[in-house]
Amino acid sequence: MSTTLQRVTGTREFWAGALFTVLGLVFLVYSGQYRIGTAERMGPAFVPGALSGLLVVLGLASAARGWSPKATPLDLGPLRPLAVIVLAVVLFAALLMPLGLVVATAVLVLVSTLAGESFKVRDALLLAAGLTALAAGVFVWGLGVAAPLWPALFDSLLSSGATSSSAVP
Amino acid sequence: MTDVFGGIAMGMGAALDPVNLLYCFCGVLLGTLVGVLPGLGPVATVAMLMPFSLTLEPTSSIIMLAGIYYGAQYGGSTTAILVNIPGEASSVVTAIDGYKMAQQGRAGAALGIAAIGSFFAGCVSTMVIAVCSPLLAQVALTFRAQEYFSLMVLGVVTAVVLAHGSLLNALCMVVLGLLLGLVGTDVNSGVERFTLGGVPELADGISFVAVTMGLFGIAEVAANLASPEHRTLRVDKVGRILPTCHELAMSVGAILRGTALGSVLGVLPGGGALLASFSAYSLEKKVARAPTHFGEGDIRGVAAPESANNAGAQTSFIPLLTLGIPGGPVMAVILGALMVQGITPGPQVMTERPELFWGLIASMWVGNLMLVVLNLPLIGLWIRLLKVPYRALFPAILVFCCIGGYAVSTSTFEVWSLALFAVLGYGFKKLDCEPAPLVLGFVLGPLIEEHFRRSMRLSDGDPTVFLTMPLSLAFLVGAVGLMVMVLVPQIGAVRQAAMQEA
Repeated sequence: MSTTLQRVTGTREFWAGALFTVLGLVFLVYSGQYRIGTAERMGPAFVPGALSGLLVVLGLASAARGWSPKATPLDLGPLRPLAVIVLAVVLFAALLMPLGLVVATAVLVLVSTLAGESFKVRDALLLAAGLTALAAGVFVWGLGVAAPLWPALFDSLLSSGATSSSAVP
Repeated sequence: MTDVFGGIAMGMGAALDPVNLLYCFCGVLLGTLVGVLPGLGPVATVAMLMPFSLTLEPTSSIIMLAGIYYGAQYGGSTTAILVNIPGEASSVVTAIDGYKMAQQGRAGAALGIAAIGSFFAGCVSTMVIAVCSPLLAQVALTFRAQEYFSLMVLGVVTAVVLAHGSLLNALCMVVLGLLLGLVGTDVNSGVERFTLGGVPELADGISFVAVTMGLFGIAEVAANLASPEHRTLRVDKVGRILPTCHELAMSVGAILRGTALGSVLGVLPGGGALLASFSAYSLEKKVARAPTHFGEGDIRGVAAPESANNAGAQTSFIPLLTLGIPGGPVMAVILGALMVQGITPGPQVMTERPELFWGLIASMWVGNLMLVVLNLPLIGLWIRLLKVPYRALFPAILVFCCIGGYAVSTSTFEVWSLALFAVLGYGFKKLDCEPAPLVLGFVLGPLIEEHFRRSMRLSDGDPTVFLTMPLSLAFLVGAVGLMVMVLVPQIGAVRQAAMQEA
């Protein structure tokens, strides 16, 4: 019994189905907050409610394939690259506003170099410097993206208006 | 017909405007540049470069986006031929014979015939767009909510049927995409749905740039790093770029057939370049005159799919421009970009914004010419770009995705969403769920809901309204027919075989 369960929970099919079922349930429960309405005057919950119900059914059907002997074992591969890259992106999101584009981009690049094959520190620093300069040049000066370049602290200290926060596109 | 010529003349005026010419050039160049990079297909390329176009006025913007798209398409073929890593599904078949040719030292001829075939296909399919779009737009003006609804259902079903891997997973992906598309303010009631307790950034819905870049850009990077492929660059000898007269003569038939097939298949919802290149390759294998050596470097195996995918890429603009319905994920991104610009694509664009419509068509000609002129001499540059190791490349991709995502709405919330969709995208990849149906569902979600609600309101809640209107019925029958075709075991097996062949 437990071996069957282990086999099933080790399959791609089971987890794909489980993911869709859970997401469907989340949308289904969330839709409960809104008015359903009638077929001629549908409320905001009508279509999403129906779709999420459908997703739950399809998800369960998908998960059921995990019991089939033809099911494929799940292989997530090494998770370190994903974890490092997502961390780098999250750091960028967190640092952009308080510390500006230069710091955020440099951190993004430096952290992300930890995701792949090993980098020499010098190469990583060079890459970070190059990409940061490119990003600042292309996006902030070239395209006029409204992003602070330097930490907000510098800005108030210098109050020179050196940060380029030109018009919102 | 006179309208068409008048339109083309007006379009040429817009496309040859120095500013638009510049953006067309930039689009083609940037698109090829990013498209050449292994692992970045046209969807990721267009999504990544979209922020560049948003600051422009609408006509220049769509001209540039279109340039990026066919540049990316061509760049992907270059990579497929030189390193056997197709950047996208539609150049998978190009890699079969193209890479073999490169191994035999005939990379130049393969790249040359790809460029020539694409150029010819581009010219013909642009003409097809110019002639067919006004006619189709006339028909589209008679569409009511039911027809739109049924047509979109057909589009979504086609995307499911064409997805790789499990059909059930593809269905789930479409439904999930539709649901994600409904996040945000409900236009009928003004209620904010699924905004996680009123997050203001979610009131306008989840940003589709975050979705596409997360699923196609960052998740892809993570997957590539998790299973490092050893690229072998076959560039010791590119050989002469222009194909010989013999090769050219051999390819003429293939180019013509590829163009015709691609132009037709590109128009189908959910079809586009992918279906076109696959079918063109299998058609060519069936009809080509002996001696054939497909799979071992037959030039026709490059000429046919390349012509077809370029023709398909162009004509896939038809449903977007005339009906406002994107046929595939790339068109979904372009639709999103147009909406940001305040333009809702549909049959009215042709009459309300003729300079945009005809300008785009004329710019396709110009852009295709640029592709040839640009790419043949720049092959050396693309090869050098392919030598840049991936570990130096992926941080650059991340930087572009993050800043680009932020720039679209000047909000770091988009970057957080990007991270979330990257994790989801990685999971989907490992669970054998292709993201393209999700993206199509995501863009069509609000439209499908709106047309469904409107039809039901007008019919007083009678669902048979979708079956009593002939055109609407035809679309739904088509959708059901497609599903049945895939579910019937024999035909399903053929689909498997066709996918395996790649």
